[in-house]
Amino acid sequence: MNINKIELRFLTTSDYEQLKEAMIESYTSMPGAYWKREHIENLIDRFPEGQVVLKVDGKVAGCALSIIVNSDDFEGSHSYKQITGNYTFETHDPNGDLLYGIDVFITPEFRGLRLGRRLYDYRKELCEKLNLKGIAFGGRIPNYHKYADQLSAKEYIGKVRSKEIHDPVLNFQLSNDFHPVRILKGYLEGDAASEEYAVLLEWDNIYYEKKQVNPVATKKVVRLGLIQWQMRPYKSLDELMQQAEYFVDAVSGYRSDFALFPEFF
Amino acid sequence: MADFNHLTEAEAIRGLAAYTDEIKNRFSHLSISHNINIITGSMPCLEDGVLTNVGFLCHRNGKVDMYEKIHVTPDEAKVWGLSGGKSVRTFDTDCGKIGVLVCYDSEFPELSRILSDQGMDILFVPFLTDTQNGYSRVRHCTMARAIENECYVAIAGSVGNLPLVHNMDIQYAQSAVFTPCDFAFPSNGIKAEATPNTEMILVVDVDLDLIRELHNFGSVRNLKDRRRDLYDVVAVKPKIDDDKQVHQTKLASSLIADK
Repeated sequence: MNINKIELRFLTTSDYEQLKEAMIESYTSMPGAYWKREHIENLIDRFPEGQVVLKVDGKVAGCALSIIVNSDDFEGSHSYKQITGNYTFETHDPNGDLLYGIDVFITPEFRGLRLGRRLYDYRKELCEKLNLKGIAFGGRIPNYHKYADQLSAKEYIGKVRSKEIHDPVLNFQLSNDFHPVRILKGYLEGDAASEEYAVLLEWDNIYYEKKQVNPVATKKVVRLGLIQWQMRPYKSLDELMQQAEYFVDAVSGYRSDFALFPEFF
Repeated sequence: MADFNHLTEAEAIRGLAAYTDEIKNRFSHLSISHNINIITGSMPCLEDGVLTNVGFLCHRNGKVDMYEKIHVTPDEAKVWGLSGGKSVRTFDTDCGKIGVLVCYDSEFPELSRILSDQGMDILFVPFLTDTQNGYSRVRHCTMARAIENECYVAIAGSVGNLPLVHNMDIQYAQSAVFTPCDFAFPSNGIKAEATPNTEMILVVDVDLDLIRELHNFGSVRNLKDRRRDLYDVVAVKPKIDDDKQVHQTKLASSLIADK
């Protein structure tokens, strides 16, 4: 495959025809399950930064759609229909605290190039930039139908984690630092491969900070001033402290945050 | 201070302890006037006849915290009659959570583990070692502390010789800042180090976000991957009264030994 240019762009309505083709190619197991034009327009309208498309030499190779929800509203189990507000995306809340993945795919032609990782990396960066506490979504487990008669969904996930069973979707999420939180029963209607089970996967934004109430923030880059003190006989406490002040003055002159003196100096 | 050189070591260190309060107050003043948090190393403290080795964290906002050396070396017990302290805790600063372990304490991994469970970002180790052997013990142990607890460790020691001062006559030090050894840090875990045995200062920046990244996404995750179903390190509450008695007996016996 000869590739000249891979680019990540915000999704626009003019991409729709191409996007539709890509969706149909990608979701072969669920024909007809592609987003209609009004859905995509609605998403772009509500949250343009959350909708991105990956183009390879101008052709749509993949896409990631997201909204922001309030984590308190979806604490327990929920279905895809509920999280999307029956596909209206009225659940999108610009003041929410959780980036929720609506859809992500790579067309069959461009699989195996780890392009999905680029879409996930974008979501992580967006999550950090918007100071949201994490990313969540219901991950499908498309190989579950092969084991459904022998294993519960929970056992199945355990075996995927311990690499006894290969599940391409779940494996991908796990290697992108997402962790399973709970099992969602009846998540996506018509997802026979997953027996309508999904795994709620989350990624935590370690930089998330609750809205500041205090003007003093904790420093991130800390300057340490170490004092390798020369032992000398001092006649008085004043003389000793004069030397100590000299060093404090020196390290604070370099705007150090800490001065460290030795034991029994 | 030379005034005490004619005394026995045990008497001299108790004489020095009389200055500790004054030194603390002056350091606190310096921390405010120079806008810097000062870890004052350590000094002798005499309270109710019990001699301990303590130090102060003088915050630039005026607050003063005290830390104590927990473990006493055989030499400190024998020559000075020093007793070990009891409190192991981290301190909140305007630059994250920090811990201070004085010298020998850094050679007991349980202490830094307890501190790291409290969320310590930076461990400070003021030390005093007489020879390169003693220094190597502190150095290698503190480098291990940085890796196993996924934190920064800053160590600072004294250098130079003091003729006529018993039990403090020689020192060896190479102060340094150690890091974990993942990709975001120096591959050998040494962020910076001073020239050995020369008076100097070392100014080093450490990025606390890298520590947070390491906790969650590091190549190895020593804190997360602990098998707490098999072992655990927990602080035991000391029985205050019993301990005091032990301290006093120890003190008495070592004073007798000195004479």
